[in-house]
Amino acid sequence: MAAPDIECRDLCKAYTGPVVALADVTLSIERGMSFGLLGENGAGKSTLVRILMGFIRPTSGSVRVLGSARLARIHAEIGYVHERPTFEARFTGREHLRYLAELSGLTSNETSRRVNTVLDMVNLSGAAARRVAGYSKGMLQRLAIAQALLTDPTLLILDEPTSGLDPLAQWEVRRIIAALHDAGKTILLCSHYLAEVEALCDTVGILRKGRLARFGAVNELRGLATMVEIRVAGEYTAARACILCGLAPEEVEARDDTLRVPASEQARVLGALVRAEIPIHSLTPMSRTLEEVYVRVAAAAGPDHTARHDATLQHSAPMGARERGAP
Amino acid sequence: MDGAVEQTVAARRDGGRPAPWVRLWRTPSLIVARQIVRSHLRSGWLWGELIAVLSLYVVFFDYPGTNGDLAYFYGFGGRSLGAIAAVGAAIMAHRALGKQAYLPLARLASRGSYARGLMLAASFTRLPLVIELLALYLRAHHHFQGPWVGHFIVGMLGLLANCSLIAVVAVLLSPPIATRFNQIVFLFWLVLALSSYTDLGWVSTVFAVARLPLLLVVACYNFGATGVMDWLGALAYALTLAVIVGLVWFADRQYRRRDLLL
Repeated sequence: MAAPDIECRDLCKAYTGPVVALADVTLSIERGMSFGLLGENGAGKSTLVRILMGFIRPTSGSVRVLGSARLARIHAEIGYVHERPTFEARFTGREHLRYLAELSGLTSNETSRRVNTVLDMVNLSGAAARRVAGYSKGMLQRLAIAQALLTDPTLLILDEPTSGLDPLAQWEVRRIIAALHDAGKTILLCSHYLAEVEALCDTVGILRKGRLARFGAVNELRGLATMVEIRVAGEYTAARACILCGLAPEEVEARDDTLRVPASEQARVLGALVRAEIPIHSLTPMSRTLEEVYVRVAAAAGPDHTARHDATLQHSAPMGARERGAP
Repeated sequence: MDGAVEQTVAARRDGGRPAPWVRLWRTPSLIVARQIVRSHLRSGWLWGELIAVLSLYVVFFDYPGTNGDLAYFYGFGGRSLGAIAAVGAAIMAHRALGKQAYLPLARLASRGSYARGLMLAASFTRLPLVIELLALYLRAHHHFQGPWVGHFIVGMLGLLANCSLIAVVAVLLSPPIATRFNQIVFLFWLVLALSSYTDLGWVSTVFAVARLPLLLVVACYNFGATGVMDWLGALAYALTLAVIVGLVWFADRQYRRRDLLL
């Protein structure tokens, strides 16, 4: 079996302060996978990306990218988009790409060919001769993606590539990422946009205060969280129905006339409602969105959450939703 | 073998092995150096330095009645260009080591190439400034005869070496290559070394030890002041070049050790 494109084991990073940016993060991203890394500001996403790129060193733990522990050595095979790509304003888009292509070790002919190719891929050929100072934010982001594709890399590490873009520019960038995934690239996408990750990624990890609180296939994470919505009829409110049935508030979500319960609890809750002679208006199975999963993780973690996601758990369970301390 | 590497290898095979000078020209450090010099030029900072040199010349060397004394020229010119080298190199380093370093660094197989390229660029950009100052001087005070030529050439070598050394030190002291602690230690040493020149009694004698690293700078300065480079001077010159190379190596090492949080 081929080694994963990204493999982190018990990765920790502490800054002076002491600030723990990453704690015991273990994850494995296989070739061809599109992995979304979610987390609020300060969760450790950018720290993880910087470690993967070799910009900072972990305090402990190990990391291998494309099978190599010497991360700088395999830079030519990684396409990297920084969260705030900074280009010299007085250079044209083409000049930037030529410079970075030369640094990647491409020959002169290959540089010209690849620069034209990636400019076409991100639809920037028309603006390539213009100075970057005149580029919109969306164009800069596409230029950043173009430079990441110069060496036709196996692995793409995209740190918030759509951050701060208008909806149309976001759509364009997402279209490019989707095409790259379809072309078989391994993608690590850091993002705040849950809908974006849901649309582009097949696997997701949620970082919370430096720890990997969830990791799994998007569908399985959502599937695990399948819920049932029960609307009570008559003059009953959901809260009153809970009291009459003896359901604890932490077991169900009660709002207006609707009870939300996990599918696994459906039979028990329905039985309790029937026994209490509470009329039922409707019963609707529903899947959680990634957003709901994310919010639950955040809520469950709380200020001092201790959710751990360690190597044993990662490697003993099948690929899919794996969680600890889940609500 | 992965796609990109395969393509590159294939391209190299198709194009044959490039000539040695082409390979040298395309080494990562030189690519970085070229880009940084271009950036320094386009941003206007290099033009600013050139104008500063012109102003210096007009104010201090081109007044009526000046006889073009070479010792005075190299003495004052050395200090002026040294100051411009320190400021210019610090600005260049500040611009090159910021957030915009992430993308080139993400392409390089070694962070050291970037540090070396930056230092190369900082040293190289001293050359047009020295040439400008010398050209301005020659325009008004040309005496291509006798010992003057030797004095002129020896002084120029000393001036170039000192300016390069100062530029390299300025880059070495720029964050993130240097930490704040490194900068404080350097400034502390500088204060000690310069304090030893004032009359503080026995304290000056003790502080004089701190002057030792400045001996090479003084030797190069004296080439311009005296126009003489004897075997001891040549040794000092060679040592200065060795120190520059050593500082580049040290900067390379320091930069590789840093966590880059730009």
